[in-house]
Formats: sequence, C-alpha cells, structure tokens
Amino acid sequence: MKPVDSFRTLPAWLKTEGIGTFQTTSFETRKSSFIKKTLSDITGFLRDTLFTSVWVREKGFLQGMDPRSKLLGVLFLIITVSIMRTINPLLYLYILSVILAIASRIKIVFFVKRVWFFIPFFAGVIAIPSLFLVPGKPIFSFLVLTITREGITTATIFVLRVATSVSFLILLILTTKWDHILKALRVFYVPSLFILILSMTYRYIYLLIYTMEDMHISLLSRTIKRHTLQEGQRWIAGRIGFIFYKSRRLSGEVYDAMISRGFRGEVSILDTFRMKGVDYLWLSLSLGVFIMEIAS
Amino acid sequence: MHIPDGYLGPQTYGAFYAIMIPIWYWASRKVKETLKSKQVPLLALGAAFSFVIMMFNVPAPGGSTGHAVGGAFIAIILGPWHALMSLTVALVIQSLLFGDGGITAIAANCFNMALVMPFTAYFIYWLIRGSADILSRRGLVAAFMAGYISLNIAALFTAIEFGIQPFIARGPNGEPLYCPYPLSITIPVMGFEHLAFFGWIEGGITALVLSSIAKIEPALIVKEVKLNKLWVFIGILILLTPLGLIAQGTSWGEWSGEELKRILGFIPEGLKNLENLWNTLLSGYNIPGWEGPLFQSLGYILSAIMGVVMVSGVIFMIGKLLSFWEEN
Repeated sequence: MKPVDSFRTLPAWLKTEGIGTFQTTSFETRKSSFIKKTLSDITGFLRDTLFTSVWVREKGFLQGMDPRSKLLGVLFLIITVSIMRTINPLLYLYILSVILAIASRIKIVFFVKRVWFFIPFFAGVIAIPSLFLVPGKPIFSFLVLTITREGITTATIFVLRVATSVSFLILLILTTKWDHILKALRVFYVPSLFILILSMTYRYIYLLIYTMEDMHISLLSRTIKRHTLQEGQRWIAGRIGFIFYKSRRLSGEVYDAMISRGFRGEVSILDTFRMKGVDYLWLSLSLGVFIMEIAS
Repeated sequence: MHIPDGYLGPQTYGAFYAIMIPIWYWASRKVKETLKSKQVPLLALGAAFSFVIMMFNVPAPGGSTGHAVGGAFIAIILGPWHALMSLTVALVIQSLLFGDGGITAIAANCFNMALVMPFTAYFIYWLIRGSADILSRRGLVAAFMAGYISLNIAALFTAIEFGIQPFIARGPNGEPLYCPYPLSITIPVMGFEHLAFFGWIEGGITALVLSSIAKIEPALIVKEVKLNKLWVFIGILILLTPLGLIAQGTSWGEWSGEELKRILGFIPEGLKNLENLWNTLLSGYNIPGWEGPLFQSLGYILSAIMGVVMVSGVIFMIGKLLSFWEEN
C-alpha cells in the first residue's frame, strides 16, 4: 500500500489536528513540567530525523556521489575552514556550501535556517561579548562599552568559521543515508566490527527513545498533581535504571538471535560504492582548496 | 558540553586525536578480552543507552530542568573501559548523524566525556565506597561524589581547551581566531555553572540510578575493582599532560608572573609569593638547563603527581570519615 492510500484509510479523528497534545487532569504548571519538556524534545528529535531524510532522495549533486569521497571531501573542507585566518576565504567557503546546497536541490531557506538556527544560541552568545572584550582600536563607543576593530574581526571570524563548518557537516548529513555515512568510515580504516556496532546503536536508539516516550506519556496520563522535585528525580532515576535493565536483557536476546543466524564474530560490510567522474571532481576540488590554504 | 567545529584550533583538536586513537585501540582490545563475542550487542545497547539518557530532562530546583551526561553511572555499572567505548560510539553518532558536536572535535569531546569523566568517576566511586554496601550511606555518597566531581573535572578540561585557544592562535593583527576567551573567563564561567547547577543534577542522578539498579538487579553492578591498574592509567595521563601542552607553543611551566598577568589579567597573590620562594630555593642550584622544556615538563609532572596525591588523599579521608560515621 502506498503511503497516500494508507493516509486515506485512516479514521477521521486521527487526521484532525491537535493529536499529540495530551489532555490531562494535571495541575502542573508549565514551569514544573519536565515530562512535557522531554516529550516535546522527543517529538522534535523524531521530526528532525524525518525532515533530514527527505533530501536524501533528491537527485542532486551531492546525493549522486560515492559516500566515501563525499565524507573525505567534507572533512578536507572542514579542516580547511579550521585553519583559515582571515575573513574573506571563510566567506568564499560559506558561499561554496550554499552553492552545493542549491546544486543538491536542498531548499535553501531550510538549509540556511537549519545552520543559523544553532549559531545565535551557541556561537552568538560567545561572539557578542568579544566585540567589547577584545582590546584594540576603538571604533564605536556606547556608554561604558567600546567596540574595537579587533573585536569585530574576532567575532566575525568566529561566527563565520562555526557557521561554515556546521554547513558542510549538515550538507553531509542531509544528502547521505545514515548507513552509508557509517560504511564510508571504512576509508579511515575504522574496523568493520566498530561500524556494525555503530549501526546497531543507531537502530536501538530509536527503540529506546520510543520506550522512553511511552514511559513519559503513561506518567503524564496518570498525573493528577504536581510532582515534587524529589518525586520527579526519583522517577527519572528509576526509569533510567529500568531502561538500563531492559537494554541489558535485550542485548542478551539480540546476541542469541545473532548466534542462531550464524554470527561467528566476523563482520563483513557489504558496500557497493563506486567512484565516478563526479567523485574525482569533488575530491580534487576539496583537496585543491585544502592545499591552497596550506600553501598560502 | 559538546564542542562544535570551529571552537578549537587544529593544534588542539589534532593533539586530542593523537591522544585518543591509541586509547581507543587499547580500549577495544580490553573490551574484547573481557566480553568475548557478546561484545557487539552489549556495546551497541550500552551506546544507545548512553545516547538516550542524555535526552531526559531532569527537574532541578527553581522549576528549571537540566540534562545529565551519565558518564559516571555508566562507568560504575559497565566498568570504565566499556563506558569509554559506549560513550565514544554515542558521541560519534551524535556528531556524524545528528550534527551535535563537531567532526574535528570528536576526539576532544570523547576525551572530556568518554575518557576523563568515566575514569575519574569510577576511581572516586570505589575510593570512597571501599567495601561498603552499595545502598549504605557511604555507597550513596560515593555515587553522588563520583557524579559531581567527575562532571566538574570534565567541565574543567573543556574550559581549559577553550581558554588556551587565544594563546595558541592569533590572526595577523593579534586577534584571537578560535574560542576568543582566555582561561580567566572560561574556567570561572564553566566552573560556576557546573559547580552550582549541573554537578548537583549529575551527582543526584548518579546516586539515584545506582540505587534503583541495585534494587532491580544488584548483580548487574560490576563489583570487583582493581585500583592498581587504575593508578597506572592515571600515571600515564599525568605523563601525557605536559606533552600536549608543550606541543602548543609556550608550555605552561614557562609562564612567569608577568605572563600570567597578561593571560589572566592579574597575578594570583599566592603564586607571587610562591614564585619568590621558588626563586630563593632554586637560586643556589644554577642549573643551566633548568629552563629547557625537559625540565619544565618534569616540573609539570611533579606538580600533577602532587595534585593527584592531594586530591586522592582528601577523597580517601572523606571515605574513612564516612565509614567511621556509619559504624558509630
């Protein structure tokens, strides 16, 4: 059944908006509701993964590439970004990341938002005081605060550097299937056993997150009064203990299942990656940028 | 505490890769030895568990919430080597698949959260708990202290990594290129939020989670402890410390009071006195090579050993006091 068909067969109440907001008899104020906060974090996490996986299916420039050369190229570019010392080349590389996003058919508003959404919170908070704190030639004074030329340079370089490296990392994540990113780690001689562990972890993260979501929903639906701090912390510790117990048991069962399917401790990773013309172009581009920066 | 790309310069993140790659290799052999072929699903689920617990919002005083890293109780229930591998897998996935923490900073993040935090937590836990029962007051205090102290030590390392950036790399006009703040800002800021807020969450959760697991299935908590090997490991860490610092240009030992004033903005009063004392003590020994990097690092190792001995002594005394308190 196609996804569209299954959507039509859904009962009407499931399609109405507002599903997912819980009606409870809880007296909890917004302030004390750690349960709702975790639930909305989980929803946000799942929504992000969903939106991230949309762009992998587009037939764009980066999607058509061998994941190994893509990973190597992105790494060269991020290292290049990390060694640059002036504003202009950083700006060119940021523009390059936007061009790559366009060439990969990623909606530009989405891409820029996704990158800059993180910047004001983390880098911005750090960069703004440095406008005033870095000593140098004053160019603007406001009451007791003085903005220096060096301060502006520092803040610009810092924000631009973080934004450009985040852009390249996001490009890699948006245009590559998660299992391909992990398999591409073979380029760095990461043992195949470790890659198997990484991909199993990725799958079980979702299982444990769903378990965690169920726990929170069930607590929320049987809550009628505000939790005290101690109750809340005790509950969380108990749930973490339970998730540990559950994952420990599960790992035993998974092991048995692996043994019964013939697992003997040897791992071979199937990869059907093929280097094409575009890969050589990409590698020489990123390596070229890297060498140019080193040489200058 | 996840450091993104662009905060650390190449000298720093490169040094952390150089430190972490042999440790990862060693840890994977260690885990292989102890867990045999069951390691694959065990590590995968341990890593998934480490990933998921960072998502819990823990209620904190004042109606706010915070997240726990979980490095302390993972180390206590799985053992430090297993914790190192599980947390590494979780951090690699966070960076590579979710963009949380930079690619270049993976080794630095693993150093802080997967190496420093679990090992110090494990060490502090068994030092305080000794042979006491897990649910005894001493056992619970041990768990709290393990979480509180190990998180703060990890935060201190992060603050140092940030704070040394302005001295390592400056642009053509002398402006800082990476994290722009010196140690005099990063250490108090990170120290304050972790000593006053996040440390309490981590410590409280560590103690509560351990007691809840002890009630569900006490056999799950690894009981045997070999402190001797840990001492060796900590010794290696002490020896490695100056190597990383020398690689970054001026080594820490070369900071005179004047340089410290430039770096910190002031000369700590105690240090000023100490410097005079040092000069008086050493003035008779006019060794020409004493200023060289070799002796500087020897001095650094010596002070690191002294620091560890002092801290362990204090923790050991706390443990003794607690057991004395318990018996009476």
